[in-house]
Amino acid sequence: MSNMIYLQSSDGDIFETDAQIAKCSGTIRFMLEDCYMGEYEGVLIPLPNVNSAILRKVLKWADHHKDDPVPIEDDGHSVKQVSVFSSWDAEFLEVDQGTLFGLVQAANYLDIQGLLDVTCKTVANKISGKTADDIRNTLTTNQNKFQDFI
Amino acid sequence: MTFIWDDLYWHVVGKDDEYDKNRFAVVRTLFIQLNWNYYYYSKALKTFNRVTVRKEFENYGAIESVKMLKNEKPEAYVTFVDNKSAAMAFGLMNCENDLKITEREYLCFKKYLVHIANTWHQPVEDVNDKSIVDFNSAASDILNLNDDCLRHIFMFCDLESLVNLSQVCKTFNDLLSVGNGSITYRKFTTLRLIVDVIEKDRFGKLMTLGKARKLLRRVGPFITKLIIKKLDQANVARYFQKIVQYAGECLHKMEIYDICLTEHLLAILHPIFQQLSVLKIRLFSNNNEIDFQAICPNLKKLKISGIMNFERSCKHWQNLQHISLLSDIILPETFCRFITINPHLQTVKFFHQNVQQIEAVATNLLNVKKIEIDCKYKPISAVLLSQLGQLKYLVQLTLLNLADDVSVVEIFLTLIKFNELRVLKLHVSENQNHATSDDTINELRQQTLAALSYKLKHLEKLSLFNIKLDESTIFDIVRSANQLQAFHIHGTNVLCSCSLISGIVNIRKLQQQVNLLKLYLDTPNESIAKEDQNYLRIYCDSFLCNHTKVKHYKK
Repeated sequence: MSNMIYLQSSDGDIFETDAQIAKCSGTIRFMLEDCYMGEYEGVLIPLPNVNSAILRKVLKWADHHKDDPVPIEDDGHSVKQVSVFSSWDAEFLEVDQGTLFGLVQAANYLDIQGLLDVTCKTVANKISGKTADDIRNTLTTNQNKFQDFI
Repeated sequence: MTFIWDDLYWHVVGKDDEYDKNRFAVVRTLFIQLNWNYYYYSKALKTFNRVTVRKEFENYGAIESVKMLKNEKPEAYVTFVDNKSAAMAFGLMNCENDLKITEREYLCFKKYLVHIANTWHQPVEDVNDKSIVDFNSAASDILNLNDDCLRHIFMFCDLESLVNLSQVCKTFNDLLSVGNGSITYRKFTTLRLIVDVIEKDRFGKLMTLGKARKLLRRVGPFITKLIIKKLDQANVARYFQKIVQYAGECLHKMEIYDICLTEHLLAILHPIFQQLSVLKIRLFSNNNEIDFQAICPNLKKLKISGIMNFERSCKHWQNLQHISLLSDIILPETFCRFITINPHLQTVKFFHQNVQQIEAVATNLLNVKKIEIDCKYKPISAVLLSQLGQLKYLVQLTLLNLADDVSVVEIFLTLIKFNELRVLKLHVSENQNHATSDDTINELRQQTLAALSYKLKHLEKLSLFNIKLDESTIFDIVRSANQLQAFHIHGTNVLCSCSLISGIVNIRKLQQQVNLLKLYLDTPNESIAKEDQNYLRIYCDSFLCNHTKVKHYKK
């Protein structure tokens, strides 16, 4: 039985994906299970906040991580287990900053905890060891926004 | 190879071949039409939908998306994940008529007419391409992320970065103010103030007074644990003043290492000492004696080590429950006196120096739950140890630096009587580890260990350091200790082999264990099949358990 669903990005492209893969997103899982009561074969879900370039990357990440073991909740080690950085992830996230921030935003909107963790961690790594000035220069393209700097 | 096309001609170029990227697009999308000359056209028309198209084209390679046209005609765009698949589909679907039939007849066999989609229909190639930035400029700036995302990023930053970030702009500063940033700062429950000119901290920078002040100002209200080590002796009073100024009510654990505590410094820290419930101190040069009972009356747990006197604190202490006296100059008499005055202690850790110590513990501390004995100075005898067997609340026992000879077997045998134990840690001193490799002793040891695990019905955690183990013994231990949840084996020859894993998993499966067994080893990880992870997990990172501590004892 195929369990294909369709995801429509903000610029109108339609991506076909396995429901199981799409379900790593909390938002999509909620929609499929609550709005379509489990009968979601061939459903089309519009994602107005995610453009196709980002959505393609997100689906690529989800496809690679679909077999990840479910973390066990015990004495706080689970956080460590989830945010283990695989070399695949590191390579996957070797993108320009625009894409990286886009992925953060998409992961937040789609509620994909694993992706949110790795992307945020990558951003945090970029920040670490930099002075305020360095951060201002590297992390943004629009210097004017810092006019409100105190 | 790369399959490219410029709306007029298609080419297949080599992987590294140069081509005009402005003119050619990489082909991943094909435009397909149902062939109206097809024999079964009407039948095919009925079943022409996304699923069937996908199914048929998947033969050529993984498909990213299938897009049906809205003009009601049986036409669709099929996008492959890889341009090679697109090339294959395009090539095979358009191959020459090599059957012995006319062109017209041949057309009737073909179900689809396949064309390359126009270049503007081709997906943007190469996600690393700069074009995405323009395309996606809405999110290309960190300031366009919403507060939720920013907070999540801040969660992964270290404290120093956060201090820097708060100076970047007003938005960040607001988010990272003490009031708003409580979620971000809450994870920094431990603050280390370590000034070590030789080692420096892990960023290679010194913890200057100014930096310490900045950090304390941010996280002061949230820290619960403060570690102070080797502060700049000239400025130590000013560091302490800052600590008192910014530390909030949550602070109740403090560790102080290698700072000469004078009367003046103790007076500065007085307000903090009042609220502490856990204090660990290690000093190697302290001229004056400190009366811990007077300066921190609310302590529940006190650990002292190094070279420290305990004479002045040796009096009745109502709140104290856990004490660790691993200082090299504490006299056994002082220890015995302290034990006699404070019979309510629940944890006691000490160096074994003479017989009276054990007797004092066995007769006075009737409620004691945890005992740790370091036999660095004097080996412990099995007869002496058996006196502790009458303590009925004892659930955790640690024996450090056991002598590596026959007496170990006797000690193991004695431990069989401690049938209430839940946690047992045994550490054999490493010095003589290779001296005796007698087979009979080894055999005896394996047997007694197996018997031990059989008798201790409640055992949940077992740690063995520097104790040679056979694979069969490990199986025996796992089999007989039903309640076992954590099993540490360190400093030995045990390798994390496939047979070991499968053996343990089989035993756990046969016993239908619901609990997970965690095995901690020194050697690198061997992966466990996913379905077996409910029974057994293996950890090799030494920081996940506190054996590093035991390693430090040796030094």
